[in-house]
Amino acid sequence: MSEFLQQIINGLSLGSIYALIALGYTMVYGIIQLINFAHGDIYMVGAFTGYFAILAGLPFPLVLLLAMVCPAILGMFIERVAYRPLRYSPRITALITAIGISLFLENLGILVLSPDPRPFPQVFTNPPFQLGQVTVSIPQVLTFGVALALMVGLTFFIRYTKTGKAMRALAQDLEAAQLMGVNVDSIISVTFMIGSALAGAAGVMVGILIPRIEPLMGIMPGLKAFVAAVVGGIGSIPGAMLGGMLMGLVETLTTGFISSTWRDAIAFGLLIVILLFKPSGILGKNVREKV
Amino acid sequence: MKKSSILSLLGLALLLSVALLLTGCGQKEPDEIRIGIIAPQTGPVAAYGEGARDGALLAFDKINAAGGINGKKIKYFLEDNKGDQAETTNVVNKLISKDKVIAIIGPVISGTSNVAAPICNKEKIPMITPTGTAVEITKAGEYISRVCFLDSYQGSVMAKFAVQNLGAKTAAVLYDVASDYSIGMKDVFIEKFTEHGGEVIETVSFTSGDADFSAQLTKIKAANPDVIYLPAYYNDDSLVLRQAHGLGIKATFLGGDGWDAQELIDSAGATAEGCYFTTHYSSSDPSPIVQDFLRDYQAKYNRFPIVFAPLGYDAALLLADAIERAGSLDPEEIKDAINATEDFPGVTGTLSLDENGDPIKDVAIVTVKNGRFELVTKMRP
Repeated sequence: MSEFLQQIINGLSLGSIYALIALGYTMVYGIIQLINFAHGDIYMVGAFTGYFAILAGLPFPLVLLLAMVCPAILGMFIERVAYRPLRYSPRITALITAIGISLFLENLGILVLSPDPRPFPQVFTNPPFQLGQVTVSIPQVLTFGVALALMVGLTFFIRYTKTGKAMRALAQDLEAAQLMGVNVDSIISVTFMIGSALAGAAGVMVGILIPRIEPLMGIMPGLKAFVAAVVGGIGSIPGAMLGGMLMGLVETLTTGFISSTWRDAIAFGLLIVILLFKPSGILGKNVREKV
Repeated sequence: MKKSSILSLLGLALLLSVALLLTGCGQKEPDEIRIGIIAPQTGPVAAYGEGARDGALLAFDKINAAGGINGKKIKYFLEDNKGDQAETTNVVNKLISKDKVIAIIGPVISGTSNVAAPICNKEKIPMITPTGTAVEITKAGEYISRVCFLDSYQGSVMAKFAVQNLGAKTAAVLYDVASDYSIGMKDVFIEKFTEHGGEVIETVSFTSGDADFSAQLTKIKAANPDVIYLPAYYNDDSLVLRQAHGLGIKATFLGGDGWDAQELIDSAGATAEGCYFTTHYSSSDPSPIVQDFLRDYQAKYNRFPIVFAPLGYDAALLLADAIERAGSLDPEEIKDAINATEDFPGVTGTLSLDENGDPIKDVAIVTVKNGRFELVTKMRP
């Protein structure tokens, strides 16, 4: 039983990472129906920003802030130069551009940072503490706590601020929102900014939790977070959080109780099963195509 | 006009015949020992190749400076196989047919050694791979041998050490399902650990490239073993160590030569303290043969040797020793002398070759203490 609880803790901390990344996918998709494949690489940029900030000797809260601000600026910049000119092009054009940006960031990373994996500096050397029968480490608590705080913050932002309202309006109907006087360009910019900042935070948290970073580290977690967003219902913010947590739990429990070799097979198999029964994802709205 | 041209023709013929005579003499009584070295010096495994090459060249320089073998100097032919199998075939053929070498040191990695071994054996040219650990290499025939121990060999030494020196009764194994190196060591460790009276209570796996080991480690923690055997490379090892610390695992970690890199300590920090691993030699070994090697190597190359260097050095010295004992430059006699090697004192341990051409030698057991690698003991299975 204690082993099971321990695996749940492990799964939740891994799931927090997936959830943070999945939010960026789902927010962007919700507004402009673009699967931003470069999102996983934004997460990598966040991890490296954190890495250099820690090496520069900054205190952890500042490291986290910096690792959210830099990817946020990069996300906005990418949207401005690569996606905005394609706003009214066929959707496939923007998708292929996103793949291009992703490859560009990965290879730029290899060129500038070298392809060798680097150990993430140890920020917290405190011993883990005992919580009943389970052992919890500082990075696990921190990952879960930061993710939770960011998600709560995001929910409030979307629900109660004017910008949040505008984002929801855009997601419902972009043209109608524009007619009502919402500045579409700036709201899309803010969406990219927030999504990228969350991915950047995930990058630092993963560096502390799983201390190895490299330029290609964004590919697999990016893909899994995308799957998590789809499972939760793409476009739905609570769906992305749920999907991310579910993905982390399934992965950890499969590795812990079946075998690591089955991990990805079962995680992606789950996607197929859920989509067979609920094609719009667990919390996705069933939107009828207008004919 | 006519007379002078006939004279010059005669002169030319005379010169030619003298030249022919001279070269004829040279072939009968060569005054140099032609040895080939195959090592990747470009490509993905260049760092390994350069280590082995520098070790071998240091040995040859030392021998030549001391007057050569039986009065003859060594002339080496260095070839870069880029760690590539097709390229290896080319350079082996070139060394044997064009450069007429009488023995070959190399290749460095197992994949290319497997390609070179059958060719050398067929051409009856002795080949000593310094660092190819795959079992099949020396099975190619009696002309093929090596100086490094096999993966299985270090697995069985660690099992013995865990039971006899650490007093371990239970063990867990965490291995990489995508690596032959890891699987081979895991199998032998489990077999020998059980044979020595211990019990392996948990076996879990990961796949190369995984970064999150918390699920596997939680499973191991629940089993509560005395020791955890982790036959993997330092990149994975340091991640596992840090995550194990986070989960509060207190068992002693054990590993193999994949741990032997400064990066392990750099990245695992204090969590690497008190771990044990098997490896080829330790630079903290106070024996004069090791310390002399380290001094000479650093004097020549001005940097610290990687573990491939002493193996390249030992391969070159073992070959030189065999040529001296054979008292001949005939490849067949050299082969017999290599195979008869008994208690050859190498930097990586005193070694004898068994009937397969594989070494029987001491394995160094190293621990991490105060942020440094430290030799604990040397033992055989």
